[in-house]
Amino acid sequence: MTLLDLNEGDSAIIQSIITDQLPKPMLTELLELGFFPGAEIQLKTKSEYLGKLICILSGTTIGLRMKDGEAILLKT
Amino acid sequence: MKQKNIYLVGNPNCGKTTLFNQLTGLTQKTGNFSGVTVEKKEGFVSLPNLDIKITDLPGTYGLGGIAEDKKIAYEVLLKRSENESVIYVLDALNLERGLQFLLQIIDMGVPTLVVLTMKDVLEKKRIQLNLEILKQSLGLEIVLVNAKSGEGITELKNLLTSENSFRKQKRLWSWETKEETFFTKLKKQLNITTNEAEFFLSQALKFLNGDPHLQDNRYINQFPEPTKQTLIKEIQTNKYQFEYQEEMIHRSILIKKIISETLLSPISKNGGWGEKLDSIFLHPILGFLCFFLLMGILFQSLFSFAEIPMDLIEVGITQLQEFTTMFLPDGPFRSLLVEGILGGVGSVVVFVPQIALLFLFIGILEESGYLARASFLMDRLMGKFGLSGKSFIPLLSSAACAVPAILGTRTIENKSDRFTTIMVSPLIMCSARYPVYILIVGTVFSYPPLFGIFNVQGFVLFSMFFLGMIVSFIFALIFRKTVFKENASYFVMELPRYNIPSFKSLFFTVYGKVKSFLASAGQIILYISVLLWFLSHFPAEYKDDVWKTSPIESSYIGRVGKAMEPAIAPMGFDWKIGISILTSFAAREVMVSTLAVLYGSEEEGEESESLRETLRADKKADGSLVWTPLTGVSLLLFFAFASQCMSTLAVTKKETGSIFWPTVQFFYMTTLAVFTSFTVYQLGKILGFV
Repeated sequence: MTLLDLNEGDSAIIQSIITDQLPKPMLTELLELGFFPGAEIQLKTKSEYLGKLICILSGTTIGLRMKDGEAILLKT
Repeated sequence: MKQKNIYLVGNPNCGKTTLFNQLTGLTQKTGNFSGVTVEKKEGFVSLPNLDIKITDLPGTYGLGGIAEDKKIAYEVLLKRSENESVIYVLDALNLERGLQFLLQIIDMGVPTLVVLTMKDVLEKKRIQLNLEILKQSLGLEIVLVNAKSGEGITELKNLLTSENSFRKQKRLWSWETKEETFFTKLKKQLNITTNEAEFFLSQALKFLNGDPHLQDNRYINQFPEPTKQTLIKEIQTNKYQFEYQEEMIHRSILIKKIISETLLSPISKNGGWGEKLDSIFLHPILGFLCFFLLMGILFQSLFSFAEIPMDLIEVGITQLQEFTTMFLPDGPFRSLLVEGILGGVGSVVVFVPQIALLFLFIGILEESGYLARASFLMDRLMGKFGLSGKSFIPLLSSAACAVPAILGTRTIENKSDRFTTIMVSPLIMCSARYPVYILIVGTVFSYPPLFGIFNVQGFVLFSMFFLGMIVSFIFALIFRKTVFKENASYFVMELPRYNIPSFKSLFFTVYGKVKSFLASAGQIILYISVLLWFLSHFPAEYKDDVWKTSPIESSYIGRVGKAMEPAIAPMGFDWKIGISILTSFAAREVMVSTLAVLYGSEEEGEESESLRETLRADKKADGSLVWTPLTGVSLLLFFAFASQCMSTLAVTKKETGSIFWPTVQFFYMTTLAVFTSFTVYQLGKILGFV
C-alpha cells in the first residue's frame, strides 16, 4: 500500500520509500521532514483537483504531489 | 569589553526571525555571506561587559542535500571559529523535527544554547513540558520564551553573558550495534577524541558508503592514504550502513524516548481554526478566489491608505523647497539644491508610504503562514508553465523586489526550476515600478472612485500586477521548453501553523526594507538628479552678476532628447519621456525624479504644483496633450517589461555564475518592452484612441 492508497483521516507506518521514483534532492527533503521508515503518517486531505496530498508527520503538516505519494510505501 | 559571535539556527517557521528581531531591535543590518550572494541578517546586542553579534542563518530542516541555503548554514557552522557558538531555536510544538536538526548540530561539536519558543501556545493549549528532563536528556541549557511578546528574553540575555550556557555535547545517539562497534574501534585506532573529529569520521564513512545524500569527499581526504584504503576495504567487505537515512532513524529512536519522558500531555495538531482556514485557503475554488481577493485588497489599499501620508510628505518637500528658496540667494547652488536635490530625491521619498504598505502586506502574508498555502495552491498551475509551487514564493516576493526574490530561489533544489525562476522574476511588478506606475496612472487615469469605493487607479495597478504575473508564467514556459529542458520539478512543503504576525517583527521588517530602499535607490537618485540638473541647466553663462541658464530645450539634455525623439515617437513618447526612460535604466524609480527635474527646470519661476498636475498640462508643439491615456498605457507596458535594474542584473550574474544569463535577461525583456509598447500605441492610434 502506498500513501496515495490511504484514506483521508487514516494513519499508517512508513515502510520504505521507493528511491528510484523520486529525484535525489526530494529524497533528502522528505527524510528531513520526517518521512523515514518507522515514522507514523496520517493522511489529512487528498485533493484530486489540485493533485495534492496533505499529511501530518511528527506534528507537522506537509503538502506533496499525489504522484510522489506513490513512492511512499506503508506497512499494511 | 568582550566580543562574541553567535549564530541563530533552527527550522523554518520556528520563530527564529521573531527572536532575532526581539534580541537585536534596530541594530540590524543586512549583507551577504562572504563569497556568496545570500542575504545575511546581522544584529548587535550590548550586555554588561559583553557585545554580541548575532547572525541569523537560513532556516533549514537539516544539513543534508544540495539546496544553496542549506549549504550556507552547513559551511558557516563547519568553518566557525573557536569563539563562535549557536543559539538553537526549537519550536516547542514541533519537538520531534526540531530535535532531529539539533542533534545534527550537537554532532558537529558546536557550543549550543537552546531557546524553546511558543511558550504562549504551550500555555494556551495546556501542554506540559518537563524542561528539567529535557535539559538533562540533551545536556544543554534551555530557556523557554515567547518570542512575540518578549517573555523570557531577559532570562535569555542573562544566559548569554554566562560562558557555561553554551555547551558542547557528545553524540547522544548510536548507530546499529555492528556499525557502532566498528565506529568505536576506528575512533580508538585513529586516536579520535573530539566531537568535531568524530563528525568528520562519520561523514567520511557515509561518503565511502555511497550515501546519496552525502557526496562530499573532503572528509575522507583528511585521512592519510593507507587509512583511506583500509576504510574502503572494511566498508566493502562488511557492508556497513553508514547512511543519512540510518542516522535519522537512530536519532529518531532517541528523540521518541526524550519526548516520551519530557512531554507530559500530547500535542494535538489537528482541529481548531487552522483546519477551518485550510478548508477555505486550500480549496480548489475558494482558495483561488481568496488569493485574488487578497491581492485586490492589497492594491486597492496601496492607493487608498497611502494617499494621506503621501500628500503630507509632498507638502513637506514643497515647503522645504520654498524655505530654501527664501533663505538662499539666487544662483546655481540654490537651483541645484531646490530643483536638483530636493526635487529629485523628494519625488521618490513621496512613495515611501506605499512601499512600506507593500512590504507590510507581504510580511503579514509570510508571517501568518498564508504564503506557503498560496504556493501549495499554485503548484498545479505553475506545473502547467513548467515550474513547481516552490517558485511561487520568489515570484510573489518579486512584487516587493526582484533582488531578494532571486536570492530566495536558493531554496529551489531543481536547477532548471531555479534558473527559470531567476530569469522571469523581474517581470513581476516590483516596488521600484510603483512610483512610476502611480505617477503615470495618477496622471492619465484621474477618475473618481467607481461606485464611490473602487479606486480606478488601484484597479489599474492590480491589472499591472496580474499582467506581470501572466507574462512571467508565459516566459517561464518558453524557457522551460527551450533552454531549461532537463530535470522534472518536484514539490514537498511544510504548511506552517497559522500565526498572528508579531507587530514588533513586522515593524522591524518594514523598517529595514524601507531603509534599504532609501539607501540604495536614494543614492543613485541623488547622483542622477545632480547630473540631470547640470545637464538640464547648462550651458549657462554668468553675466552682470547673474547666472543665465539655458532653457530646457537647448540644454545639453534637451539636445540629447530631441535627437532621440524620432526613435521613440512611434511608442508615443516625447523627448522628456525619452530622457526619463534613458535614466531609469539605472533604476526604475529614477524616472520620476528625472521628470521632476526636467519639468522643474522648465517651469522655473512659475507657481509650484504637483508633478502629476504639471504632466497633465504638458502639451506638444501642435497643442495636443503629451500625457494621454494611450501614451500612459504604452509607457506602463514599457516599464512593465523593460529590464531597468542594475541590481537585478548583478544578482542574476552572481546567482547563475555567468554573464550570459543577465545578458539574455536584459535583451529579452527590453525587446519585449519595445515591441509591446510600439504595438499597443500604433494599434491604439489606428482604433482611434488618444
